[in-house]
Amino acid sequence: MATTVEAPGTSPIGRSTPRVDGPLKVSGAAKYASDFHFPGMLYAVPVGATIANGRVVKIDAAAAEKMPGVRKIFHRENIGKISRSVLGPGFEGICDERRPPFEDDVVRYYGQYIALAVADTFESAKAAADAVRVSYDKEKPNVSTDLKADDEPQVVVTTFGPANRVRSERGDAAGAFASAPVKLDQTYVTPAETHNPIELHATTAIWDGSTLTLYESSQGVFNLQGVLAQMFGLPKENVRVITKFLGSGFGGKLWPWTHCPLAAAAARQLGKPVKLVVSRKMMFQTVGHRPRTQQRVRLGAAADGKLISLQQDYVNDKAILDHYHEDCGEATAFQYSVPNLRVAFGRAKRNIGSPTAMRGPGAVPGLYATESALNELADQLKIDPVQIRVLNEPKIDESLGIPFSSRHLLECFSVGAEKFGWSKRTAEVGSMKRDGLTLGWGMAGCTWVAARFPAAASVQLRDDGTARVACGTQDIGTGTYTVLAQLTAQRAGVPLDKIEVVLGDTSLPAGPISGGSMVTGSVIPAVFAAADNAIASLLNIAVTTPGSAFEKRKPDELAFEGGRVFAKVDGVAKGVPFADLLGRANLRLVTGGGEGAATFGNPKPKFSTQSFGCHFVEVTWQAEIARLRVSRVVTVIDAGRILNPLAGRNQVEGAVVMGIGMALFEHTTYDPQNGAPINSNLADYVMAVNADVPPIEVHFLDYPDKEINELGARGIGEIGLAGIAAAITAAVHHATGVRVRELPVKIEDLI
Amino acid sequence: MQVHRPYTLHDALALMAATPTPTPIAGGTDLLVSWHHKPKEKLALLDLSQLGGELAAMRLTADTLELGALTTYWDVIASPEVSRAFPLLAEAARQVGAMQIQTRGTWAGNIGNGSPAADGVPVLMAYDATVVLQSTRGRREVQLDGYYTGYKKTVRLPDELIVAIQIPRRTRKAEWFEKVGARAAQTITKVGVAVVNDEKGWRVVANSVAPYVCRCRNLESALQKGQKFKSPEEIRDILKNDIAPINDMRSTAAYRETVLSRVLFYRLADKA
Repeated sequence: MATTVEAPGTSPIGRSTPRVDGPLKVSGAAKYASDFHFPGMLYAVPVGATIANGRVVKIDAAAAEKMPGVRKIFHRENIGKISRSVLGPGFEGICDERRPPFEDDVVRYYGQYIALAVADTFESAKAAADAVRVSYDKEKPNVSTDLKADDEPQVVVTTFGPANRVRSERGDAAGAFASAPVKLDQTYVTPAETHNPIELHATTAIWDGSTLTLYESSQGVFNLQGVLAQMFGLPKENVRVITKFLGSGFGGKLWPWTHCPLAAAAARQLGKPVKLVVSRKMMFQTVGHRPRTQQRVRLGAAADGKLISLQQDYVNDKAILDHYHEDCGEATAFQYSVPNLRVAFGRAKRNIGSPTAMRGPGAVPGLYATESALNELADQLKIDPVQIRVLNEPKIDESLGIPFSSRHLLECFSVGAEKFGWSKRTAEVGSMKRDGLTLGWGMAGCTWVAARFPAAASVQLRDDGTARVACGTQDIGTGTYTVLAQLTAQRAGVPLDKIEVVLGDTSLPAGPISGGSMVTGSVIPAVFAAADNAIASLLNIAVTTPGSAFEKRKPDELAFEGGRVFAKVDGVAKGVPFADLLGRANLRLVTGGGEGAATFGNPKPKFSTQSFGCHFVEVTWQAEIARLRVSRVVTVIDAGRILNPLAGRNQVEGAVVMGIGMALFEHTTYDPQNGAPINSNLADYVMAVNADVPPIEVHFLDYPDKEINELGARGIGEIGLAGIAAAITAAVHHATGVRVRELPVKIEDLI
Repeated sequence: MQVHRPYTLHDALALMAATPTPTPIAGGTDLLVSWHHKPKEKLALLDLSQLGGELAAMRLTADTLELGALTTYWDVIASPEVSRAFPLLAEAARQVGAMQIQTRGTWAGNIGNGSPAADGVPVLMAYDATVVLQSTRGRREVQLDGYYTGYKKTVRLPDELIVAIQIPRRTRKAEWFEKVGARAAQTITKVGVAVVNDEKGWRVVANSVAPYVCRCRNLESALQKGQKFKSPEEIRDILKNDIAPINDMRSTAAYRETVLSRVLFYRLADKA
């Protein structure tokens, strides 16, 4: 493993750093979107359709309007104009559900908002929403789980623009498969999953003349600003979006949903701030989910396990009007070496709310399928699953024909195998026992894209010796506040506790979406440039301020380190703290701005930039009473330099826990009669609880990837969820002999 | 919606005799499960929370444990004496939801709600508990085994309130409880079973395998006769006449039957 460059103690980078916002959170002082209160504020509760397909015939709001405290029942006739938005050039104007709320009287999914009750209190609004009577022309919804691709052209519309349905192709995949000595042809299914962050989606909308302020639980304040500006016909600068803290989002809060313009439209008409908090039940209906996927994987191999052909044909379901594509082929084309490959997709329209990105979109369900197929091929050939991966390790990214910037997947396997004790594994099903339990051992590899979004930041150095760093990105709970403080501390030499970090506001320099595990990598160049510019400004002041110790010097004779300005010839020991310099110059502060360019979407990259890793999993199985538990996980991650191992480990552990949920518990089920998500609450939507979480060992390889940024840090928020389900199902097979190809594993299927 | 909040048992019983009859609530945990879907217009509730003096006490004597109707799961968990005297009560209580539910939910409410998946009822029935019902007309005691007559149907008359649960103290030769759910905690039972063998004989009580929590009498008689089982299938054949599991959102009939038989077979082999 690589060693860290700085020795511990001298740099905040690479040091385990507790959350700087921790005290605010544990004391309840951190304000989430629904924690903001304003004088005269009203409360809105949407009315959701109780059919999934059909037409609203009549909305009878007479009784609801007469209820005490009720201000208005909004519906299609009286909501006022809410326009559509379009995808912009670059990475903006993104929205998974493009139709504005109440645009027509057609209902296309269960829970679609058809009216909105606004009242003086939440209780009155809820009672009024419940009292609205709606009649429908009802048709049978299509929520079928059998996914056959719709008839679509070769190039289709997706959330992010047009895409070729052949995702990647090289060689002659079908021909090579036909003549391959060893074949595997299996279909893998992942169910709809619902994000379920504990913080519900929420909007508080406030109008002041023609400016709109939104307190929103958003993973992308700038994108939301652009979309809402379009929907209300405003200049972008007239919309301000504020997201100070997020009780996570897992991708569900990346793009705007219909509750947000509804709250804004109600506030516009009533002339008062309006707060709308989406209920837990609505979280299953109107704010996205990971779609169901059905993936056929065909592998052709030589007798020794070397891959000859790989075909992945997958289908995801999507909403009637929208265009979500679950990019299951994202990692397929480069993860292993194979000369003949074809990855293609289709989609199937259903009467469901639009799917959206959920932690590790595409690669997470995709790698479940391809890694599972590889595990099955290894078993078929009686080759160790680690060995088959080593055998198929590529020298370059074969999909792009360029080298990887930094790939240490083989080392991940060897470290993981050693830490786990993999060499003691006996391959035969049910052959391993401990304390009367049958053990199952399984493993899988994982990968996740690494890139930078454009980012801007500003850094101020202040005359009280403190610094302020600002960036309009968000902290979804992953530690963004902390990492910005670390970066600023590193560059400006100010201790962590003297740094104010300001995030989550479109009035700040434009920051990236909290998505794609890319915030940390993206903000590094921006924050460093901003700090450097603030320091440059300070050095100018040092040579121009009368009475300054450096008055007779030129800026290039000076340097800055540890918060002190010094003449290079004299050394830092004779330096002057920046606060003293600012005081002498009668300046309150100096500011520097900085930007980092995007690498995401670069059409001609020189290197393929990805993170890598693997999971080794043990399950225990008691056939007698059909009890299955994940009992041990070792995860090794190669995500470049880890800036904050404490937060980083926490991200990977959290992802593994979510992976246990994905493998064993989580699925959103739609009622075939009325199209409603049936298990739309936290009792019936089963996810892993603490008692299901085994000891999780996380190891980071810590090789800096300088292609990404000068610190070499890639992202770590999502990669831990990739591959884990395939490792668990492999372990389940090893213990029970049952091959589960449709998630989640149900213990009913194991006996 | 009407909520009555009596301060004495006397007033509570008078309200139970009124029309329409209110639904008594204690912790309210079952009420909340369907709160958002429930029409509230005609809802009438009798909030028992102020009757702590009369209904909250746990009394452990030489021959009986009496749980007042407001006794929560947590009261049992937190009492070393009661946990020692009736270990299965504490064991089952710890598996009911999370601590928030355990501190509000009551044993009497678990009986009254009548869910076939109730986690508190199997251990009470296995300990041969009696339900004490009271109304303005008087007081009567009903065996918990026999309390249920169908899915969410009981022998309680509309004006009667569960005021206490009584459990006899006996010498036990075997007692155990097993709950099987999807995850390791906070799980809704797919299948569960409580088994007690005391001076009055075997009682095997299963949940989630019939319209109500029930004793498996055919299996009990086989155990009573000293029958030894060679396989889970042998138990399953006997259970076929005791249980009537169904397929639903949480599990399948086949799974419930198979796992109940297996749990019984392996645990009886262990501890019988």
